[in-house]
Amino acid sequence: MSLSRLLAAFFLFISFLGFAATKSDVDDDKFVAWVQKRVQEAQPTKAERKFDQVGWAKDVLDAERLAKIHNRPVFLFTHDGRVNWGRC
Amino acid sequence: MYGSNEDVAASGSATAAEKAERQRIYRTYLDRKLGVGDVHIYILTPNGEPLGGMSVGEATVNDTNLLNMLNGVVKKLGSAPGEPVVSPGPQSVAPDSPADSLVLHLSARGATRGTNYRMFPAENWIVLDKQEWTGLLPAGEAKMSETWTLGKDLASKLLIKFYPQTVEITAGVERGRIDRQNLKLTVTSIRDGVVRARFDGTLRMKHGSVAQNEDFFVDAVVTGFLEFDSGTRTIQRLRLVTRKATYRDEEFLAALRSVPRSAR
Repeated sequence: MSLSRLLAAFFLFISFLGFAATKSDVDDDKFVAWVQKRVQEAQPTKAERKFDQVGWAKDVLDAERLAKIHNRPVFLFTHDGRVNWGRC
Repeated sequence: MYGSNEDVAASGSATAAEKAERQRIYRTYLDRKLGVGDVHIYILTPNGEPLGGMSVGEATVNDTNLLNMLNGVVKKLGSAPGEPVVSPGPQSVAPDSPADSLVLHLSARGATRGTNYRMFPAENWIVLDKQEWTGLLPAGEAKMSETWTLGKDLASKLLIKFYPQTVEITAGVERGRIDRQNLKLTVTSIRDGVVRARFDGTLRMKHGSVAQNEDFFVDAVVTGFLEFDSGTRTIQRLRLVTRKATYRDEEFLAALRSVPRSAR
C-alpha cells in the first residue's frame, strides 16, 4: 500500500470515528427530547389547573374569619386523600 | 376552603381548634338531618351555621346542581360580586425542604381521560436528602458506557408513586408493595464537565386503590436520564418516565422530574 493510500485510509477511518461520535450524540439528544416530550405530556394542562383559580382559605377557622370580615358565606369541601394532588 | 378528613382525624395534623370546628359542623348537619358525608360540600353562614349542602355525587352528576345551589345561596344572602378574599395560587407546591435536597415532582395519568378520577392527572412530591441523591451517582469518576444499578431503597423511593389516578382514602399511607424492580444508569455522554446517564428499568408493584388486599398490579418499563456536574458531583436534571406501563390493564403515563429551587 502506498503512503498516500495509507494516509487516505487513515483519514477515512478518523472521519468515520468522528461521524460515529456525532451520530451517537445526535441519538442521545433525540432520546432526551423524546423523554422531555413524555414529561410534558404527563403534566397538568392549564385547563386541568382550574382548581388553582379559586382563592382557597387555609383552613375552616380562617375561612370563617374571612367570611365574617367580608360578610360572605363559606364553601367547605371535605374529602379523603389530597384533592390538590389528584390523589383523593 | 377544602380539607382532608385525615387532617382532622384524632391523629391528624390539624390544630385542636380546627378539628373541633370541623366536628361541630359535621354534628350540626347530622343533628339537623341536612345530609353529611366524608366527601361533601357544606355551605355556611359567616357564623358557621348551615346554609346548604350537597354530596359529591349530586354535585358532579351534571354541571348544574352545584351551580344552582350556589346561585340560590347568593340570591338568599344578596351577596355582591367581588374579588376573591384569598389570592388564588398553585395548590400543588413543593414541600419545604433543606437547600441541598433534591425535590422531584411526579405526574401520572391513565389513558382514559375526562371520566371520574380522570379529570386531571395525579401528582406527588418526593424529596431526596443529600445522602439519598448521592446514591444516584457513580462511586468514582464517570466513564463513557459505565453502568451502575441503584440501591433498592432509592429505586423504591423513585418508583413507588408510579401509578395512575386511583381512589385514595389515606394519602399518607403507602399502599404500594414493590415485588420486582430494577433501575440502572448508563453513561451516554460527557460534555463540558456534564455527565449524562440513561435510566433503564422495570417495575412490578401491587397497589390497592382502596383496600390493602386488592390484587391490582403496576407493570412498567421506565427510562429517562440524569445529568450531573462531574466536578461538583451535583445533579442538574433528572427525568424518569414510563416507556410502557399498565395498571389493572389500563395503560398509563408517569413522569418524574427534578424541580430546581428557583422554580419551586
